[in-house]
Amino acid sequence: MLRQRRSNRILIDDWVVNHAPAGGRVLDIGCGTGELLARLVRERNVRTTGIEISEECVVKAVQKGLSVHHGNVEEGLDHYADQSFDLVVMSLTVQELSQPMHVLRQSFRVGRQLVIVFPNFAHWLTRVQLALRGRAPRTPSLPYTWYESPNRHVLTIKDWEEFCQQRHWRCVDKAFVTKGKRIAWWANLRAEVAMYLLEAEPAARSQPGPAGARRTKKDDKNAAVANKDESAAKQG
Amino acid sequence: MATTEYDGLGLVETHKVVLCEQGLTLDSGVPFGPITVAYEAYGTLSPAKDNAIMVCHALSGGANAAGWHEGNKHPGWWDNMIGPGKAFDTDRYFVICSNVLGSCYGTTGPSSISPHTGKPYGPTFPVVTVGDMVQVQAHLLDHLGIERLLCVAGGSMGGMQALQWAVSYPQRVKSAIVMACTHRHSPQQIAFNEVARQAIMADPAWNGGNYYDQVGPRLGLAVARMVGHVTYLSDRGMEAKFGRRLQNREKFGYDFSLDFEVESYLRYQGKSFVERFDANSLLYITKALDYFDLANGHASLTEAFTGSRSLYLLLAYSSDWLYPPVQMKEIAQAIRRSGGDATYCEPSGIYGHDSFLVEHEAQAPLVTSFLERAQKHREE
Repeated sequence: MLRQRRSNRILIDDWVVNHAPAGGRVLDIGCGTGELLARLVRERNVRTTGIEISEECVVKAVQKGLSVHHGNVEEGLDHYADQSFDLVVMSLTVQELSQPMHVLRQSFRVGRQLVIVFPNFAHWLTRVQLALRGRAPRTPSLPYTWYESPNRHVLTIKDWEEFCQQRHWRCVDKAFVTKGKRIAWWANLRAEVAMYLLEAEPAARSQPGPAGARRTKKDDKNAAVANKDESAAKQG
Repeated sequence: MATTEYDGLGLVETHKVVLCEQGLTLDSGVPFGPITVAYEAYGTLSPAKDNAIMVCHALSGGANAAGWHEGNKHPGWWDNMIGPGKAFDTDRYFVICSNVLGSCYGTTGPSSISPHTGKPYGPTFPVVTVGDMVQVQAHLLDHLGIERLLCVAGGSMGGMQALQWAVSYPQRVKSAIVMACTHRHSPQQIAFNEVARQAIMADPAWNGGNYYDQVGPRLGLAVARMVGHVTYLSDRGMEAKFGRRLQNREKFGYDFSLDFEVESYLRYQGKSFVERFDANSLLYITKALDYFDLANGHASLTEAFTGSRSLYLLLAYSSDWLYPPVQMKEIAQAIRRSGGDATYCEPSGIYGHDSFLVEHEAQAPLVTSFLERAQKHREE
C-alpha cells in the first residue's frame, strides 16, 4: 500500500469511518495490517473483511481479530456473492491494481457503495517537478522513485470524475486532502489525495437501508462542500 | 522422555471408551458397532463447557496429539501446537483428540478383534468414510458431555474432518481451522492413493487382507508409505534437505544398493512405518479420503455451507502440491458465497504438504488470534 503522510492517513480513515453504515458490512480492498478495519469494528460496529496480498500484513490483521483473504484482489472479490457488502473501501489501492476496471466493476457487483481514495497526480508539486525540473515527481503522497514505485496507473481528479461520469457512477460525497487538511477549491491543483463515495445505480439508493438511515446534518454539510468542490475541481 | 528444555504437556495417556453398542449406520448403509474409541484430552473443561477444541489427526496419526507416552521416542504429532502457552493453549482450552474409525491406534479398525467372531476384522471390516469418522467423534463428545465445540481443527485428513464437522453438525461447531486440505479428493490425489493400495495388495503377504496371524505385507506397506511420503514433501524442500548428495559413498556405486541420501531417507520412512502402522488400515483410510466430497448430498459446495455459521480459518501452503492452495481457495469461496466468514492465509515455505505439522511458527500467531476471536464471537 502507498505510503502516505500520517496526517492525511488519519483524515482519510476518519472520512471512511464516517461514511460506513453502522452495523453494516464492509470490505476493505488492500486492507494492509487492518488498522482501518479495526477502527470500523470499534467505532461503527460493522462486520468487516479485508483482502491483502502481503503475508506479513495478513498475519497482523488476523492478530487484530479480523477476517482476511490473503491473495490478490481479483481473486478475493470473486469469492463474494452479489451485493454482499454495504460498502467496499479501496483506499490508496486503485493506482496499484493490474486491472482497475475489472476490480471496480467487481466492487460494484459485491458492494452497494464504494469508497475510493487515490493520490492526485495533478498536484501542483508533481506538475512543477515534471514541467519545470523535468523529473519524475516525488512528493509526500507519491514518495517513490520511478524504479521502486508500486504505482501502475497515473490518474488525476479530472480524469477520475470524467471516468465516473462516463460510467454513470454517482458521486454521493467527495473530499480532498492536503497536508492533513481538507481543502475545498482548486482541488485538482492543490489536493494530494482525493476521496469519493460512489454508487453504481442511483435506483438502489431509493431502497431503505442502513446508508439512508445514517445520514446526518454533518453529512449533508459535507455533501454541500463536495458540490462546491466539484466546480473547484473543474478549475484545477 | 523430555529434556529440561521441553515446554510441553509432559506425560499423557490415552483413554478408551466403548461407544455405539447398539451399532451405528455407516454412510455405506451398513450397521456397525460396538466401537472402541481411543482418545486423549488435555487442559480443563470450563464449567460452562465452552472451551472444548477437537483436534483431528491425518492419515497416519493417532490420539496422541501432544505430550509424551512412556518409552516413546517422539512426542505427539502436534506437540509443537498443543500445550501450555502454545497455539492450542491447554491453560485456556480443553483439547480433545481421538483416533479415527478404521485406524490402528486404539480405535476400532480392521486389525481390531471383532467381538462377534473373536478374530481380527481384517477384510470384513466395513468401508468407512470421513463422515463416519466424524459421527463416531460426535458420539465421543456426547459421552464427554460436551454439546458444542469452540473449535474443530486439523490438517490434511484432519482438515476434512473439521470441514465435515462444520457441515454435518453446524450447531455444534463454533469455529473450524482447516489446514492443507481439500473439499474433495481430486483425481491426482485418488491416483496416489491407488498406487499405495496397489503396492500393498500386490504383496503376496497381504493375502486378501487376512494376515494377522502371519508377517503381513511389509514390503507393500513400505512402498506405499514411500509413495505417500514423496507427496508430502516439495521439490524445493527435497532439494534443500538432500540435494543430490550420496549416502555413505564418494562415487556412484553403479549398482542398485543405495546411492542417494533421498533413497536412504525414503527406505527408512517405509521401514519405520511398517513397524507402526497396519496395512489394512492404510487401505481403509485412503479409501475414506478418496470418497471424501463435502458437496455430496448438497446441490453445490456453497450450498453445503449454507447451514453453517462457524468462523473458519483456512491455511494453505504455497509449497503443498498434494493439496494445492487452489483447492483451499475453493473452500474459502464457497464459505463466503454462502454468507459465511472465512479467513484464508497462505504462508510461504518449502515444506510441502507436511507444512501443517512443521510450520508451527507461522501458524501459531494465526491460530492463537483466531481462537481468541472465536471465543469472543457472538452469533447473530
